[in-house]
Amino acid sequence: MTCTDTLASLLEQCPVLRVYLNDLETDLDETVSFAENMKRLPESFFEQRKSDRDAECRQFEAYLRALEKTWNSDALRADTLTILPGHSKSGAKENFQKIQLHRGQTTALVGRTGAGKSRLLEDIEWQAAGDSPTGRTILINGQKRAQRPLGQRLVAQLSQNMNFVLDMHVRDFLRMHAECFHARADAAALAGQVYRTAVSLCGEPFEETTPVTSLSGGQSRALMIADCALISQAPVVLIDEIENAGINRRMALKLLTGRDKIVFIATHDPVLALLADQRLVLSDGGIKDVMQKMSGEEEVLRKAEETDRFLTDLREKIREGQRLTVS
Amino acid sequence: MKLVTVAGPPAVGKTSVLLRMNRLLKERGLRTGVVKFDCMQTNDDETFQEAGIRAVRGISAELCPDHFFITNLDEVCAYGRREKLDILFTESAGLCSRCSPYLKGVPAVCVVDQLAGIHAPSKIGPMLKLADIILITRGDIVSQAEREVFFRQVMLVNPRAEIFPVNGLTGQGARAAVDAILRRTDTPDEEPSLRFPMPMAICSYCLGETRIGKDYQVGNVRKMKLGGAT
Repeated sequence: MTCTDTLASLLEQCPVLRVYLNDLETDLDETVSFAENMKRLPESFFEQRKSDRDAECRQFEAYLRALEKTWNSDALRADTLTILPGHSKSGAKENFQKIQLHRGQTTALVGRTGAGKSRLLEDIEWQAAGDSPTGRTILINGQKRAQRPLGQRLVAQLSQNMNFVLDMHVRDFLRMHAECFHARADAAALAGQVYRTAVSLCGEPFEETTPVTSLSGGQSRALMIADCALISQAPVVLIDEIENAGINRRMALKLLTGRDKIVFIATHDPVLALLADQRLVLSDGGIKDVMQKMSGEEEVLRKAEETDRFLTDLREKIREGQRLTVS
Repeated sequence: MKLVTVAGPPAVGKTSVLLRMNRLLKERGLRTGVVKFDCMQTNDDETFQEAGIRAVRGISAELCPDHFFITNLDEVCAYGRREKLDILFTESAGLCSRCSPYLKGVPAVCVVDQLAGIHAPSKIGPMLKLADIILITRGDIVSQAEREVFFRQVMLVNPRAEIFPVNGLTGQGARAAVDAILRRTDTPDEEPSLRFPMPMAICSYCLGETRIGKDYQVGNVRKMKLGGAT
């Protein structure tokens, strides 16, 4: 991308450039380049901006370079996330050497309400370096915060109290999000993929032209998960209490981990907790225990899912006005 | 003493965020204070004082709040030095979206509200564009997708700034913001100056005129081009 490419082709590659161009507050000809547009503008334009043609071109080039750095960047990748111990609210040292999580792994955060889930999340988001209330240090790919690029958002969140607030329909909404990171044509294809994935996750079809604010709870959750897996660039995902959303949980997790995300699930639901590769047990603001999933727990999970299906089935029958009997 | 200018549209949560940040600075043993500029009655200074943070308010009343801010800045800084503050925050709302109260060589913080919609960042003007640190409030209740789009919009408008989501209610993110402020090593110019000129406002209405019509308009007057049939 340079200032001699036509604006139309730049906008095709990088739709968000529109923000910069609009900000010039003048009509531009998109069939020619930025440099050419500058040549055609009257002196008064530059006088008002206290600049000249060369300065405007240089500034635009610099902006393009800065943008390229954040575009589909590999710098965002997180292969490992390491937690080094801190202490609980009452000051007891956390009893582990280090906890290392790899991409594609799922970790359940379990414990009573107020046990320290939010503190852990904040440590991760900020990449604490022994300087948060917990005293923990978080490393990404073995690196401390100071060594990592600034302003990168690490954690994407999915929680029960999140809503869509924009007045847009599903397709436009997804395209807008995808265009933050992709060329226009790729963004359109990606948006279609997210839509289809969301529908298969919730099993409750909706249209691409449905406004996002009129989706049901299950549909919204499904769309948020598919969007998070396929469009969001954040390498870590925290799923916060979404057990009652009426979505295929196993498939949702597989989707996220399949995209090389490091997934945390804060949950009280036994099925979700058992779907994870390991569990961090939180208590009094500290990590009390790290438990790998045991082979015997697969069997427990199978039974829990059976019970879960039984309950789901009952729920459906009651909704449809059927009579229930013990079979 | 380090001066930090904090600005943002009305009701975005500037005061809650400042409260959170000041508490954290106090924990670190720093003496901080807040001077709050407003055009209407405010009790926010009491909110700060209840939290044990020195606070003064300035009500601009019939004056332009941003002009009021800048004409009082010298005295405000002198107050901060008398109080032997380590950090003095000024808080003001750029009301016309044309102003930005930032000074050259003084850290500038802008607070914006996620709920204002995705087009808000391009409408806020120099207050957002010229800030060094941008804090996004109320992101906790919207979808991740909307957060990311908003974040991206802010970044596109101001690629130089460090951007942090901050939750004014829980304080989540405030630590990162404080860290960013303390990390800055700006040195104010010998003769401080604004990063961006404030809007010129010298027309008859600035002087209290209430009647409408060409006959009553003198000074800095510009007419719109409306087009259409003549």
